[in-house]
Parts: sequence; C-alpha cells; structure tokens
Amino acid sequence: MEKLRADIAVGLRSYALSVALEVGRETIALVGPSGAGKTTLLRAIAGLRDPDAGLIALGDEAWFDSAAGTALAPEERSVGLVFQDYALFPHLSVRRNVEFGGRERAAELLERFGVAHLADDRPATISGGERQRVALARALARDPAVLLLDEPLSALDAQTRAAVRGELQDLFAELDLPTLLVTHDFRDAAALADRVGVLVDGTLRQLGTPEELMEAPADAFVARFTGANVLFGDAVADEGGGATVVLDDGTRVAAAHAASGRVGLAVHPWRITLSDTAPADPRLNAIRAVVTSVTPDSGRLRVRLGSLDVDADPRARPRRGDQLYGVFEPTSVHVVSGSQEP
Amino acid sequence: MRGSAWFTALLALALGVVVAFLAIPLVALFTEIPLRRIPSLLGDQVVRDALKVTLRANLVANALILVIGTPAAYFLATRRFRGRALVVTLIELPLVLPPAVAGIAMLAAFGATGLLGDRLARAGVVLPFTEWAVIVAVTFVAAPFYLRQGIAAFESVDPSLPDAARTLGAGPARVFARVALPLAASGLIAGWVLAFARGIGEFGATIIFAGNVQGRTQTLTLAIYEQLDNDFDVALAISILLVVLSAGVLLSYKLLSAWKSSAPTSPSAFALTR
Amino acid sequence: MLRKPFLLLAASAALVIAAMVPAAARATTVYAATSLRDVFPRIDGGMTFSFAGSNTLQLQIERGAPADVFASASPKEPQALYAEKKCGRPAVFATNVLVLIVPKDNPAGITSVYDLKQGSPKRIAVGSAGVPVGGYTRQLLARMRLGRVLTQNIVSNESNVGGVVTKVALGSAVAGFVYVTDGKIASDRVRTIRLPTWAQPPIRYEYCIVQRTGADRAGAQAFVNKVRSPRGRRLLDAAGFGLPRR
Repeated sequence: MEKLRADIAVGLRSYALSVALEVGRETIALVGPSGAGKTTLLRAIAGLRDPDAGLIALGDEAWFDSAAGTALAPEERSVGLVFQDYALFPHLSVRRNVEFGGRERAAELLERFGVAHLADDRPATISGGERQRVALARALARDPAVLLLDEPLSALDAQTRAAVRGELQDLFAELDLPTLLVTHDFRDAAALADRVGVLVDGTLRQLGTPEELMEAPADAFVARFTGANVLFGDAVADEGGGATVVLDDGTRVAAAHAASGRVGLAVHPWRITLSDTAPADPRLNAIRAVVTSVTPDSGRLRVRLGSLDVDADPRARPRRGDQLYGVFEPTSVHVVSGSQEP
Repeated sequence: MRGSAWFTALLALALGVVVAFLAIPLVALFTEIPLRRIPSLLGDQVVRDALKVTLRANLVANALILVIGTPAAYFLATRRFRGRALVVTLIELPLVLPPAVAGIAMLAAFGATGLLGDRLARAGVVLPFTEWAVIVAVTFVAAPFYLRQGIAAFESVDPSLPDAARTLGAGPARVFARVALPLAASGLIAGWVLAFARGIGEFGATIIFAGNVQGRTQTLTLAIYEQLDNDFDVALAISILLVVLSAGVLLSYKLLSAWKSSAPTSPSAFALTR
Repeated sequence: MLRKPFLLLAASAALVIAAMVPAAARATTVYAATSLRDVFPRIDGGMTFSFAGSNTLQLQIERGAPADVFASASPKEPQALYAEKKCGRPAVFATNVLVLIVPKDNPAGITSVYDLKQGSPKRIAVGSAGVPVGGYTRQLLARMRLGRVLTQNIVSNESNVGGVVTKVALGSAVAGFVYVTDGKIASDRVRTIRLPTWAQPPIRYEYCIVQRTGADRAGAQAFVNKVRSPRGRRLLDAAGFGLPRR
C-alpha cells in the first residue's frame, strides 16, 4: 500500500485552488462550502482534470508532474472514484456495471455489498442506497490503490444516510486503502474520516482529527464549520492566565486561554445550557437573548438564542419569545484569530 | 365570450387552410388513376431499374454515412477546438444549399474536367454517369442530417458517464464503443432515418452530376421526371410508391423519437427517490 | 396592444393578395424547342421565351400554360395540339440535321460515329426517347444499323438537347447527338463530327399559334411574321438551320 501525495495548484473561476496533502493508510475527508474546490481536487487526482502545476503521485509513481511533463490518463491510474450521482451506466445491468471495472472480482463484490439479488436489474429501477452500493462495488472492482468519494451521503434521505454512514465506516476500516472523500457536512466527515481537512476558497485551513478541529480550530472558518458559534470582540489578557473579551454588543465573556486584540470566540452549541435566571457563579459566562426558533433534532433541541445556536436538553422546554440566558464555562471558549470577521 | 370565440375561429380557419393545402395534392395523387393499376405500372422495367439504382445507391451511401459520420460526430460532440464552429457550419451547409447548387459544385470538383476529377480521370476513374456519382450526390445532401443529429445525440450523453468509464480503466476507444455509442444510439438512429429519407428523395444534384442513365444513375425521382413527358401514369405510380416510402420513414422517425425520450441518459433519471 | 399583431396580419394578407393579381400587359410569350434558344432572341428580343424539350412544352400548353406561340423541333407536337384544338394550323419554318459532338479535347479519340459501336463502353449523352432530338437520334442510328450504340454504351437520357450539349462540353460524356445548330453554338467547347446525309431522318420545325382565352394573337402573329421574313430566314440560315421553300 502506497501513500498518495497531492500538491497542486488549479486556477478556478474566482480563486486558485492550492492544496498539498498526503493520504496514508487512512481516510481523509475534505469539507468546505460548495465551490471551494473539493470536487476539483478529486477530479484532478483521478486524472479527469489536469492541474495547472504540481505533483500527484502514488508512492514513487508520478501520476501528474508538471515539472516533468507527466500526465497519466485516468485509465492509467489505479484509482476508484465514486461520483456524487453515482454515474451508473443506465444501459447496463447492475452486474455489467460492476463488471465494467473488472470481471474477476465482480461476483464477489456484488455479494459483499449485498446487491447480488439485483444483478440483472437496471440502475433506474433500484433505490438510492442500492445504487450507491453498486457504485462502490464498481469502483472497487478495479482493485484500485486509492479510493475517492464525492459527497457519498448527499444524495440519500436521512434514514438511509445513517445506515450508510455505518456501512462506510466498516468498509473503510476493512479496505485499508488511502481514501479521500469530499463532503459539505462536518458530522459526516467526523463520522467517516480519520482526519478532516477544511477547504475554503481553495486553501486548506486546517487538517487534523475531528477532535483537533473542534477543540483547537485554526480560525473562525474552521470553527464555524465544525458547528461552533463564533462571536467577535476585543480581548484583554487577565492575571489568571485567561482573557476577558468584550463583545461588540458590550457583553463580557471570560475565556480560559490568554489572548489579546481582536479575536473570535468559538463556543460549541452543546456546551451552552439554557437558564431563565443568571447563573449564581460569577465565573460562568451568560448571554441573555430571545429565543427565535426551536427545532427538534435527534432527541435534542436545536435552539436559536439571539445569534447563538444552542444544543439544548428537551426537558428545558424553551419556547419562542422566551428571554433566556445561554450559560457556558470559560474553558468551553476557544479563541481564534479575529481576522476572518465577515 | 364573443372575443375569444372569434379568435379561436380565426385560428381554426388558418389551420384548415394549411391542412387543405398540404393534404389536397397528396389525396389527388391517389385519386388520379385507379389504384389497382399501380402494381402493374410498377412492374415496368423503368421502375424496376430505378428501384434497384435507388436502393443500391442509398444503401451504400448510408453505410458510408454511418461508418464515417459516426466517429466524426463523436469527435465534434466531445472536443472543443479552434475553428470548431466553422467546421460545424460547413457540415450544416448542404442542409440549406439548393440541391442544384450541390450538383454543380460536385461537377466542379469531380466532373471530368473538375478540380479533382481531372486527376481522377487520368487515373482512370470517371464519376459522372456512374452509380458512384449517385452515391456521392446522395451522401453529400444526406450526411448533414445524420451529422447534426449525431452531434446532438452524443452531446446529450451525461458527461459523468464517460468520466466514470475512464476511472474504471476504459481507454477512449472503449468509452466510445461501450458507453457513448449505446447511450447515443436512439438519437443516432433517428438522425439516420432522416438522412435516409433525404437520400431517397434526392434529385437536383443527382441529375446534374450523375446524369440520367437508366439502370445506373436513374433513381426513382429521376425516373418520375423522365416519365412525366413519356408515360404520365408510370410517373404517378412511382410517386405513390415514394409517398408510401416517405410516410414509412416519417413513422419510423416518430417512433424512434418516442423511444429516445424515454431512454435514460441523464442523472435526472436518478433523482432523489427511494 | 392587441392591435399590433392584427395589423401586421392584415398587412401581410393584403400583400399576398396584391401579389396574386396577375401582372398586366405581359409581353408575347413564345414556347420554343431548346435548339432555338440562340436564334429566336436574335429574331425578336422583346418576346418572353420559354425553352425546353418540345414534348415538355406540348404537355404544358395542354395544361393551360400561358403561351402565345409554340415552336417545336418536330411536327408531332403541334399537330397533336392542333387536333386538340389548342392551337391553329401548324406550318414549317425551318429544318435541321443531326451531328455527333465530342468534347474539345476528344478524350475518347472518336472520329466517326462507327467508333461508338466498338471498343469498351463509352459514356454518351442523347435526348430521351420522348423529346424530338432523342427520337431523331434513334431513327438515325436505326437507319445506320447502329442500334447497339445505345445498348452497349453507358447512355444518359437528357430531357432536352441543351442537356446533351452540357454533358459533352463538361466532359461528363465523351460523345453526344445534337443538331448541327447546337454544335455551332457550342463550337468553342465541342467538336462536331458530321453524320451521313442518307441516314438523316427528316427534321422539320413547325410553329402554331396557341388558341386559348387571353392569348395574344396579334403579338403571336407578329412574331411568326418576323420568323418568316427575309431577315428572319437569314438569321436562321446563319445559325445553321435549313430553310423550307418560301
């Protein structure tokens, strides 16, 4: 098993994609807003689009090398790509679709992915989840050295999604191939990948484990992407090794880490609790605001309190229009640079 | 409401005029002579020769159009290059060119004293008065129909499918044969049907370039022209034959278009469904 | 707002109707055999001419074509029209003979009509059977017992003698049968080979004045007079036609 290296620059419409990463025997998920260049990167690695400059190599084998003038065609690269809409051949049966990648392994893969009973059906007649499995089987029929997936969960409805997420986790563990997937949903990325990279406007803001990204976001983008609230204000370091930040609306927030100057404060929704009264302990942070929306989400409540997203316990029963306090510890606050203010 | 009734009546009148105008000549064709005479008239040697020439020449021309036109259409559909728009316009030109002009152009190129014809003649190859001249004339006027539809058919193939094929190890030739061609097939065939119909009906270019040699270059349309002044009833019989043939071609085209629109080539067939 | 499209529709309809009104005061119309295409305009350039194979013209006149004079390369057609009371009594105004023409560079090396009956099949052009020049050609070949010329060569049947000339001039055909007058017209592009007098069928050009409502009898008569006048006869003679006795 070889490492995949990609260090490329591609000029896109409004910015340039410039990314360098290495994928070992692991799964890396690239997340970011649409149009950030994630799909372009996948296509470049697959060989469907040549970067303007750089290097793409699997171990010692250069797939693309602008300095040497090498550019292997997709069929010459040992890569398996699962497209966002699966791109199954509509005129071929499921079996023939999988065989297109490689006949020897087709039967085995059909079994392994549980679609052998659909072997003679056409793609148009099977469900979304089944199509994805066929697409996976087909990509793997070629016995690729690298697996690429473009938004593997986006085309599925919520129920199938949860099931497929689990199946993919098992699959990646079992395959043990360098796997690169692209998604716009951080939770999917966190569930499926060993490391997550945040790609914004063509550059990789941070590449690390999901925990690293949540606990120590490199900047406000990453913080927001992992689902944190980001509040901007001016910080002044205090004697206790922490800092006091005065938010733009005047509220004072205590952070457990030292900081000064213009900063962004990242607080995750599940670290905030709701209360009708101000907290007794003066060291706790409290922000008072009006509840503007309450949405049930997987057994919890997603509450919009002023400009904060709060992941609340349903027993709190907040209602729209309630004036509540959002309470959180100074240690729940991560300080990021204030330079990405909108 | 009075206003809208008036307007509707006007529209209906316009339609009535159009239908009558187009239908009356066709109906008149079938009522000019007793239909039971048709089979014997069609048995005339002139007709049989013309039928042979027409079928042979058109089969060869259409085979050429398919074999050479398909890769050409694929190239134009899948590559962008400088001057592409010009090439496409050139290919479409015979569609709007008067057939007589096409005939004269071919004489200028391939006639015994023409641009290439001169050289060909010295090599012993003379096209006028030969069946090959008919094939050339038919190909010239019919090919653009196939090419235009072919380009559209290949362009309508979802681009992610050939991409997927390449990531699965298929080289460009295999992508063409296994993915693009099968998916574009219904559109290609519909285009070919149109080309076939145009070829059968070709007259102007043929009579000017290929001449009117019974048994060699006299196609069904040329036979009608000659028999007009000799035996009008035979001309009528051939005309009826061609109307039936054309109607058959049109019907095939409609059926194929219906098949084409139900064939899945795009991801919309895979929209979020359970 | 609703007015504009209706106004447009009305205007177009008016235009169409106006265009359909037959043009007033047309010049006299002469329907003549193709071989007369060069000499007739010299006799009177003010006529409206329509040249085609004589059999084609006969059919058109039968169906009501707006001809005032019909000049044919054979008596058959005017006589048929006369019998149908579609035109007046026909009269002869010229004669002609057939010749063999080959392209200027004579690629097949033909020096006489007998060259057409031997050797490999050659591409030749003749008038189709129904048109006068085609009928005359077949008569001549029958008299010379050269019928095989039409069966063993590659023969294109043209709808009028002009088509035969064109095919030979362009080299599509290596030989063709036309009138001597056509050989003269195209002398810069074709070479003429004479055919034996004894084999020539009688070729008589006849005219008749068309009888139909709206026919311009006066103009027709005036044209015919010009053709038969000394000047007209001189022009016909210069073109290579033979002349009937006065």
